[in-house]
Amino acid sequence: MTILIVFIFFILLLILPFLPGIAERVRKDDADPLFIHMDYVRDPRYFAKSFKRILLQATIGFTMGPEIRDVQLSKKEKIQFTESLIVPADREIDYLLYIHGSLVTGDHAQIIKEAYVTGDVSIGVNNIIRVLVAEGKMVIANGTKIERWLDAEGTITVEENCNLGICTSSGNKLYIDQNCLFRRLYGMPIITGNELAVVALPKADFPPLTSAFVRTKDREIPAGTVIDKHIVFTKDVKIGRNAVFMGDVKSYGNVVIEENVIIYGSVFADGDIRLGSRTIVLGNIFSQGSIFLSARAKISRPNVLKSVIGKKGVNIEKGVIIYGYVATEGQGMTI
Amino acid sequence: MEVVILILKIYLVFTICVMLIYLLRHFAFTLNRLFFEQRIYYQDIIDSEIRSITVLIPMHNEEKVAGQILDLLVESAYPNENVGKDGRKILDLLVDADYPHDKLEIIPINDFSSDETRIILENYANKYPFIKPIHRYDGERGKPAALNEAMKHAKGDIIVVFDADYLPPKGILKDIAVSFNDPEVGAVMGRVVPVNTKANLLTRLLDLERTGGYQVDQQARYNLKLIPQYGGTVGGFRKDVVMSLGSFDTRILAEDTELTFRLLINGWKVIYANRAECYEEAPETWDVRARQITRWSRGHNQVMLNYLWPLLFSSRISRIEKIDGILVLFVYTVPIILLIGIFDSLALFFLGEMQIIAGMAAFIFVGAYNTFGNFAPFYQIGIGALLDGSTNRILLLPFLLFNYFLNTWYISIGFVEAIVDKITGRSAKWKKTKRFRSGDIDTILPSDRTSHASSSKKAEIK
Repeated sequence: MTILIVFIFFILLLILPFLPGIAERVRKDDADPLFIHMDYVRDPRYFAKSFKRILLQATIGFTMGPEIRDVQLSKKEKIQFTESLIVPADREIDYLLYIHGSLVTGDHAQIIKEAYVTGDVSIGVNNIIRVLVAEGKMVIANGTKIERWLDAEGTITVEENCNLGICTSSGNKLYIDQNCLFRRLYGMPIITGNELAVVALPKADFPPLTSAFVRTKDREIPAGTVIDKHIVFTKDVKIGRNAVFMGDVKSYGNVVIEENVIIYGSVFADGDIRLGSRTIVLGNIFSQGSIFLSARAKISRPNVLKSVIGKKGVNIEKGVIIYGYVATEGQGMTI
Repeated sequence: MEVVILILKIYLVFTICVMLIYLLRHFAFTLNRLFFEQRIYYQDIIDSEIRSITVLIPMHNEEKVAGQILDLLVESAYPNENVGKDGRKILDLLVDADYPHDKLEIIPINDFSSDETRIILENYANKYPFIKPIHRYDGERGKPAALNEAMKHAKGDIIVVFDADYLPPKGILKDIAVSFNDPEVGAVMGRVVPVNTKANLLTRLLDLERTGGYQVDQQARYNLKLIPQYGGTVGGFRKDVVMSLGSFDTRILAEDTELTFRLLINGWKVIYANRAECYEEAPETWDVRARQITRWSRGHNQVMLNYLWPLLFSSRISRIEKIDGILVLFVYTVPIILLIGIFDSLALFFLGEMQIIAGMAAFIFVGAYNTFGNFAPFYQIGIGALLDGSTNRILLLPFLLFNYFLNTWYISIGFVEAIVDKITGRSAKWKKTKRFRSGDIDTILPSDRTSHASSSKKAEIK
């Protein structure tokens, strides 16, 4: 009898670790494949396109009027369909807006739900805006805070001391003044400050480079050097003024690029990247650290979309022009 | 007899040391993934000057899956069309991918197929000018030979490879191609996710293995600047570089691992793209899995035998990469070391000589022997599932014991075959993994494609 009990106890202990798994096999709570978004494509204006599609589908048949109605989006929301709207100073709007015309807000106004505007937008000083989409131009005055994102088909002009939330994208130009915070920017081009870069764009009149690259322990490239190949620096590197790189530049450490350097390829670094003033990079800039773009630096050229990706942060001085996309997981700032 | 016992004891200590080294390695990877800074991949780069790519899809009797990948890839080139919605296959998916068609070329390689593969490919070629199938009915068989021939025809700067059972999402080609903006990247590997998890216990266990292997192991190796492996599918490489290095060695079964080490010793980097996720079909029967794992082991050990010395003496690899490279090369040797160690310990036990593992040593001994349960040890898999936000599947971890025994045995067989290959100079014969799929894509993919619980959590993980 004792042997039988011991045997049963032994068998129980043996199968004990498998019992939760057997239960999962039976219940199949977590049996689906891991989710992959099969239709996902990278689009810097994805938020706006997706929002417009959802909003316009949900509001088919709605007519203009002052009343506030229910609309079924991902959940039930209140919405007002209205002609051009002027939001008085200090007013708070806590429902969705569909504005067929233009939107103007006074100082210290708050729009705490999403707003879609078919015309132009002018946001007053120190507003708080959740989401704003416009088919026309957009002007954001001093001190405004965007809680989520904004997008305009036309030019966006952002004045000083704004917080641009997660994403600000424009189908046209994006002007951003000093002391603005951001995570992602998109514009063709993005222009910081009031001063425009007047750096002439170089012509790439040399044959395309092969994949071959040179790896070097050099820590400094003298001023005026011309390098006609892709180059990988295994340490921190400082690139002297007026140097020209016909290929890509990569460093395992930090990259400091002085004034008036021209790089026809991309710049990659495991550390920080600091671009000197009037320097031109025609490719992408990617850093596992932070990126600092000095005054009047220029990234890419008209009609060519490139990216500036700084994992820990991106700081941009005034007069910088970027044709394309800027993103950081940390903090972005115009200074 | 004393000499024999001494040898047995030395071997046992050696086995424990090997186990402990791999334990520490995988534990370091897991901790890195949990608590340390993650390196981001290049997928955030948006670039209008896109590189030309050629997608190669080796196919041997793939009529069950051939159309699906092409439809998905064609969606890249014609993003606004609903291509092949009726009964979509792999070719449909490729047709569907997000890539400008003037920069995209798709070469399905019909490698000695005797089924309808040839007709399916010709139908696609007639519809889409950038699908240019190659039909091979003479010369050397097998994936490496097929890839070599296709590379001679390929016009793209970058070669992207998918196996025929894969289901590439729309954006994956750009996610893979963007990494080649980095001048020293020779190859990139994406993440493989089994799609047929619901089929049976085996597919669920293989899903767990993949989770640990990619979400933790490969990403940690990328974080630590070690050696992420190119896996031969859901990945890409520079055509000019690989051709200049002599293309694929057709005598080696693991052409992917061979490419990883060839690139490495020639100064190129292999990187990992966790975001470039793609569904695959995992083997649904134990015998198919056994054949697959034997082939992997044989091929990997062929690479180990051929590349150990070049790795050790290469001047283009850092010291830390060399250490990791050695550990990667010996991964498929460890099971046979352990298997012999188990018999060794049994012999010592019955000889009454097991007193060498008293006290603290016994603890280490037990820990070490319980560590190498799989390619990715259990805690690595558990953390991988946690990062994926998919935690109930962790309850199945004890069942990996069965995979462990299967892997240990068949990896050991693969090791022996690789040794015989090396000694006799015989060439290995490529054997395709059996496909199980039936039905079109929309019945295979998860039904809720936009609101799965894990998607939001995964999105936070780079």
